Amino acid sequence: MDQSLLFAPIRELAHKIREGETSSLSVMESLLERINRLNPQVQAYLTVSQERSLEAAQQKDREMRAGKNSGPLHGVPLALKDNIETKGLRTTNGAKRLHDHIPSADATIVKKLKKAGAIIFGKLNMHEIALGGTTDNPHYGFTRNPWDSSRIPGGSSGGSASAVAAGMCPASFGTDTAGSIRIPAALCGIVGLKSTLGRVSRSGVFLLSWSMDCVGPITRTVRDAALLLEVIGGFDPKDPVTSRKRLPRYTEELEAGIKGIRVGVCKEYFSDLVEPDVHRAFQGAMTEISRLGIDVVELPLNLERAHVSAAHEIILASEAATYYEPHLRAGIGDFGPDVRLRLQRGLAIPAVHYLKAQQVRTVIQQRFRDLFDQIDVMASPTVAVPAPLRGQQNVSAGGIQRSLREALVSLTLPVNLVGFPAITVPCGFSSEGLPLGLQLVGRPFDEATLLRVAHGFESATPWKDQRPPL
Amino acid sequence: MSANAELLKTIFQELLNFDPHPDDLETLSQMIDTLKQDTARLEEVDTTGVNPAFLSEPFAGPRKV
Repeated sequence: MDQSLLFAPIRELAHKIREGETSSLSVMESLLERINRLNPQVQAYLTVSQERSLEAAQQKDREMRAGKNSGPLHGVPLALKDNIETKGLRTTNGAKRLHDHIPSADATIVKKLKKAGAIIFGKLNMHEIALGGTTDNPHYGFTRNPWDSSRIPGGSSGGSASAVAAGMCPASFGTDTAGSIRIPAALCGIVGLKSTLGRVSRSGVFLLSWSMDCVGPITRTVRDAALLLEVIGGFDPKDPVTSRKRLPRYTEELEAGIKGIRVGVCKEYFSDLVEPDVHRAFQGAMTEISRLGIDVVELPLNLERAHVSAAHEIILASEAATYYEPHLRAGIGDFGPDVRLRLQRGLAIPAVHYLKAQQVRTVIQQRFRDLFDQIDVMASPTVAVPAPLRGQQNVSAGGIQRSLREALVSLTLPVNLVGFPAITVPCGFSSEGLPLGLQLVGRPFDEATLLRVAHGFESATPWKDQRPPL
Repeated sequence: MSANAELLKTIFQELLNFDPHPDDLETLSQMIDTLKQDTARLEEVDTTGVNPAFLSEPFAGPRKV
């Protein structure tokens, strides 16, 4: 196979398979060869179904030759974060207790992907139970950032982002409770989409927070993210949070035009937090967005970061502790120290404080609604710093030492708290050659506008074509 | 073990019927302090009458009840 196809968008791969310019088998063989060569170094994959996926690819090729095209992903190999259940394929949730767990059913999004023709061939490393941002998993190893192997890929969907950035997977899926799709996508130089809470079913996905978790695609292009959201989105009776709102044809709306869209920048919320390289890249991105005919306006968010992070942490810790309490009681020693501590801390939160946090959350969401009366999309850097080194506990962000967690999630977690959709797209590099991301936030269920702006920016800039030195 | 850690252990055992991991007691007692700070920050936000119904209706807005 043409090796450039290892970095091709899935839309192009699907087209070439459909037109007979390549085969699903050829794509799969090339991917497996690259995974076998690079995974010992990158450690993105936990499980790869080699024989079964080759058979599946041959079957897809036979179907295509017989004129049977099962959908927009026919014959395209995809991999998933290891907290998404896959029938007959090991799913560990990054947890020791689930080392040998073979699910008996597919998650709803897996069923939808397979129906659209995709081949689910591998499962990707993650921070243990998705509760953390380094993907330094005590049971399954440390996933490395393909741009610099001494640095974290971010997390918790670190394996998903690392694999896509390294050309070891055309696209993947992650979950996002505080930024776990967007952070690793930004730190690895690719695209990550967290849709509106309720747009995508979580049925069959190991949860962390019922009221904040979202499943979404990690891709090389915005168009691929739009395509995958079309495939996995929509109401699911198995997840009561999912909405019955119509699922737009996002790919068809990408070119609908972006002139006149209003993008808001709430500098007061983040300007003291970000590193100079991140600030510079963000300023450059805003200049480019203005050049595209988009109105960029500065306006206040009128929120204190401390209120936002306190509400988020209390809700996350309470819900995660509730979800994992049976596991804690059954084998507390099976958890790594960082996750164990956070879960136990969650047990100690009184219900009164949890409900107060939910009230505060509603007040914060109203501030976002008020803001979006004046704008269509909000922009910020995705992460305050470039990818930190493995083992760093504190990082310099905005000129002062902050906890690693604060530096990673401060700009992404407000979006989970309010349930709005957000995407990260590459917007440049640090002076050390590490990728940086631009975060765009949209109105609830208006992923279409968000994707249009992101696609317009991506098309006007060279960042999506940069590849790590592997 | 510090007095705070002892107290924490008792609270977990008596209130939650749960034995915290012995290696974590000191760190947990410090984390509880940050939790207190978090809840103090929440108290600064006026939520009088706001219905905490986010779980069932995430986009219903702050209807007062």
